[in-house]
Amino acid sequence: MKTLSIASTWCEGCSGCHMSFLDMDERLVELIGKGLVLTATPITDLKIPPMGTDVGIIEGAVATDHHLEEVRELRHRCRMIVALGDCAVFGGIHTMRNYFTVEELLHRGYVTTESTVNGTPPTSGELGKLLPKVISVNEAVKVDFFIPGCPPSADVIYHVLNELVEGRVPKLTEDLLHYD
Amino acid sequence: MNKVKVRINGTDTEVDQGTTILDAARDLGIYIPTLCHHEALIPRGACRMCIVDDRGKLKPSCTMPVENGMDITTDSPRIRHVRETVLQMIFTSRNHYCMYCEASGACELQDLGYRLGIDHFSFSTYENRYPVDISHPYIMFDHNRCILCGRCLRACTDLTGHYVLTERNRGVKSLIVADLDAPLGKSSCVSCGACVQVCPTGALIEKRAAYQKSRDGMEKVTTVCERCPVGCGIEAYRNPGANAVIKIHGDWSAGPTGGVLCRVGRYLSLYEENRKIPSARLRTGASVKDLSPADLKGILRERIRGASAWVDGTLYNEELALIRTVFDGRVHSLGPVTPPAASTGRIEDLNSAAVIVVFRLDLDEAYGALGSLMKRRAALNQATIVLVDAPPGTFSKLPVVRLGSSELLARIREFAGPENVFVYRDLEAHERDAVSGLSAKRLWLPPETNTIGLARLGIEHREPGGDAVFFFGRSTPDVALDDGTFVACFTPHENRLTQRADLVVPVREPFQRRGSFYNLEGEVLSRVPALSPGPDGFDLEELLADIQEER
Repeated sequence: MKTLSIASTWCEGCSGCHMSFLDMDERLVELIGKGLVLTATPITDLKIPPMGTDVGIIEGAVATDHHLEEVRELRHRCRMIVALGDCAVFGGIHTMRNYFTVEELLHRGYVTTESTVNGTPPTSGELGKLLPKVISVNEAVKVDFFIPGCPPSADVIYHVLNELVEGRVPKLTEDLLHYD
Repeated sequence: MNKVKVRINGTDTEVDQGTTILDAARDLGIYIPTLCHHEALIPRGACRMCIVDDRGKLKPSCTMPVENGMDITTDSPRIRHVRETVLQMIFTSRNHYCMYCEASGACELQDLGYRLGIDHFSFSTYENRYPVDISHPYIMFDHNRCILCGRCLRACTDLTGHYVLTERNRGVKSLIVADLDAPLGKSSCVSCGACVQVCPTGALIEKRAAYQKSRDGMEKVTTVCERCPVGCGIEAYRNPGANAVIKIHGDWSAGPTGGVLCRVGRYLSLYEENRKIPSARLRTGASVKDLSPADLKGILRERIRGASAWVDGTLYNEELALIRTVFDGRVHSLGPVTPPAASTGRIEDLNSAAVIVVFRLDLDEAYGALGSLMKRRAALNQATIVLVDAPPGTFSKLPVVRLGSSELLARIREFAGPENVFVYRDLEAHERDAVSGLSAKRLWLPPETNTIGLARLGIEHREPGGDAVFFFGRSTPDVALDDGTFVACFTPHENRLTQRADLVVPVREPFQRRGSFYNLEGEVLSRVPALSPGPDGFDLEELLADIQEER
């Protein structure tokens, strides 16, 4: 049977799009029956997809250097990249911080917040460094398909995966396309 | 009217000269996307979504009148590419992220994005930051959501005549500003709210209405405003679950004012702080007792005998007729009901008058929609406004003629013709005499909404007095009554009168009531309730009908 392997991750996202993915309920089992294979996704709790994975699904915007590395890695390992949800497609709510500099943000978040005493922005090398602007996935790597929504409905996620599993190029009709 | 022949998408048609390509296409049932276009406003051609192809040249169909020989194509790969690119540029210029916007679900930019299948942004975003103006008591202007369609400017100028909003700078720095770039709350804005109503995105939003309910979840009730005798047609948007009115819009299809409203009808009717009366109550001596409906009716049956009623112009014809019946004709008006001089003209005459003379009124503060009708013509020099003894600052931006009463009377021959209109609420006796003899039209503005209803029911003005005085309506007269007088008050909210009354009966609130009243032209207007009745608040008609039946 022809298989369609998928990997997924979320970057600067709330995981709501993945919840919507799971909201497909038993339709996910149906898709697996038709050849869908889950490789590295939060669902399987595997971290690194194999080279040549068919579809890499990315939720969330690119906000730190870690995210940048992650989406580039996925782009490298997957044949096709799908941006899932408004944050991945447009940058989403996180772009509200683009009006401010990183210094202003860290200062407000770690020093001047009302309940903080003697705060300092963290400097650990393990933490991702904030990029100057939150960007959508397609500003970092080439994206092949976009699914806007906050979150996209389980119906549209199912529709796209079903089209791909059956070997067709998906198209979002007006009833499946929404930005909120 | 000359006719013009034009071909649109292969169909030949003939239209009146002056018709735009857009209107000609719409008459044929052909869809052309638009964004800055609005049925009540003069076309501007700002958004470039309505681009069509005429023999190889791209033209904006909303502003271009048809010409003989035109061969229009409204849809082609080239046109679609242009429209998509323009829409992408509009989306990415400023903050058009829908997920946290108040207008999402009822945004014309969003709708167009869905229609054209935009599923990602082609250009980078957040390159510029624009101000968010929250200085105004009712209106918030988030310039990051603005698409510079200019509908607000057009509403503020051509439609309502206030001339507050204009555009500043150019290119990416373009900004809609108030006056000379003042905060909206400190500008000459009169809060008519037309700008908010026409804004296609979430740039201009009403503060109190924002986020109460999704815009597509609101229910719309078409009714009339009852705050003054102009009686503008309105659309009250309600939250059915909470039984509350969220916001008020003007009804573009209604009457001579055609959707133009004023601060009183659009905002004050919702923003005024009122205290509800918790239940009917009776004061005897120092103690106050809450009354059940049965107790109340008992008291009324006893006390109405021989009592007199005082009413005002906030009551509807049906209520007034019933009060008159229940009180055996002993009903009087709190305020004057007769005009100094009867009207001879109609509101429509303001749209064609050469000179409009206004006596001692600031038509930005009261009867605001009529003020707009005059201002928008005066601003274009289509009419001259003469203000007689106007309050200082009235119509300060317009080139009006300001006269004292005696100056006017000395020059009255200049304004005598039938193409002129005199507008007044009160007139001195000598002014009335001078104005009555002329062929110029007269428009009397009654002091209250249903003043004419009071007059037509034969209810005359008299100062309150007697043993038992029953007040109906929302007035709060500062009356001097003897200590022994029994005072009853039937009104929706606590006021000065309810504090001293012996009997207080809560009645339904304005948006819960149904009834008819006469507008200033003497036409009957019907007020449809926008809300269901609440648990407190008696239906005045029902209450009085019960009392009447038992007699």
